[in-house]
Amino acid sequence: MTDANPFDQRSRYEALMEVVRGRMTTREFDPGYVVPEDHYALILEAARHAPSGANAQPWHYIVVTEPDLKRTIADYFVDESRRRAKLKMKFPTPNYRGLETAPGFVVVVADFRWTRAFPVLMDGSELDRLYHENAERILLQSVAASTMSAHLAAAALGYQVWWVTAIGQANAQAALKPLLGIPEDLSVIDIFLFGPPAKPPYKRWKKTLPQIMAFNRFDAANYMSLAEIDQWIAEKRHHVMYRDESRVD
Amino acid sequence: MTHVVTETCIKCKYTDCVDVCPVDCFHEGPNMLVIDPDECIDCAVCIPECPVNAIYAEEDMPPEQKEFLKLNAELAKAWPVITDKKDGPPDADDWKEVKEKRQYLER
Repeated sequence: MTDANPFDQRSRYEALMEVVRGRMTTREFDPGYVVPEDHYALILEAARHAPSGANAQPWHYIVVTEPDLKRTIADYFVDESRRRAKLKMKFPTPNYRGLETAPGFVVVVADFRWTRAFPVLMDGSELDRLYHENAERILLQSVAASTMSAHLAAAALGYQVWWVTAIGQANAQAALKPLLGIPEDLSVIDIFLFGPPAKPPYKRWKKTLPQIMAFNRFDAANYMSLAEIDQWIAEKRHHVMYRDESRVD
Repeated sequence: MTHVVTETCIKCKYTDCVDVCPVDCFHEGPNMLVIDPDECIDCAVCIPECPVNAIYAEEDMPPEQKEFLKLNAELAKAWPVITDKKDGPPDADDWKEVKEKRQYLER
């Protein structure tokens, strides 16, 4: 194996893939571990280099180190998971108590006002509304790219991670923003947790390459009907979320 | 890891827990519920729903309740799944405070 060809640097690729494959969701961490101060900068330096629409970089990262603050945020999510359960949402919710165990605790903030930097008309028309919808997607993808870079940097250092999503609801914003001094017109979008796992992490089931990849035309074999998706949700979802890949089928 | 229904449930069986379980892992016997450890995802949502605090995370179980870990696994295989809350036994409240009642477990 040689890396002489600048466009076939396999050893560099393998080093990256070791990090990518080794990044596993963990939902309970070793709470006694103290993150070395410089690790926050090492990790968020990766977030800083992500691509974004119009190079707007519409993201902010708030590192939470105060245990009381972590606990208060965890309380919100535990309460929210109980609310969802009582609605019979049937989503296999994780135990959000684990949030407060995370030595590395970073709140990801998005500034949706930057959608105006993307292709929009700004004239209030129906067409403008459609362009704004697309602009929101651009912004979400931008923040996700930056967040993922941070997750991989944490994984590269040896940590495991937890990407807490679905914080869009108005009550989540109302609960979390004042705690963190976030201006009203910005939004909490994710929480990024990292640290040594409390228990050995396990690799989740992943689709195979042929199941996600095609050349030139969509592979019809990979199309699922709505009924098939509903069946997957009923029968497989909680297994692929909470079991090692070897125990899914 | 799993969550476990312990002795306190026997003859109470209030079933508040089944209403919130996202993965339908509760199974119903004649006078007690159990959790299928193969299906439980440790979300812990059921714990505060139980009016008699009968549900524990495996790691938090009182030592004298340890046998219920095995019992839950065994009985979940034999008993049917329960997904909706229903009325408990009419005398459930009389048994709330009774500590030792494993001798009354009906299979």
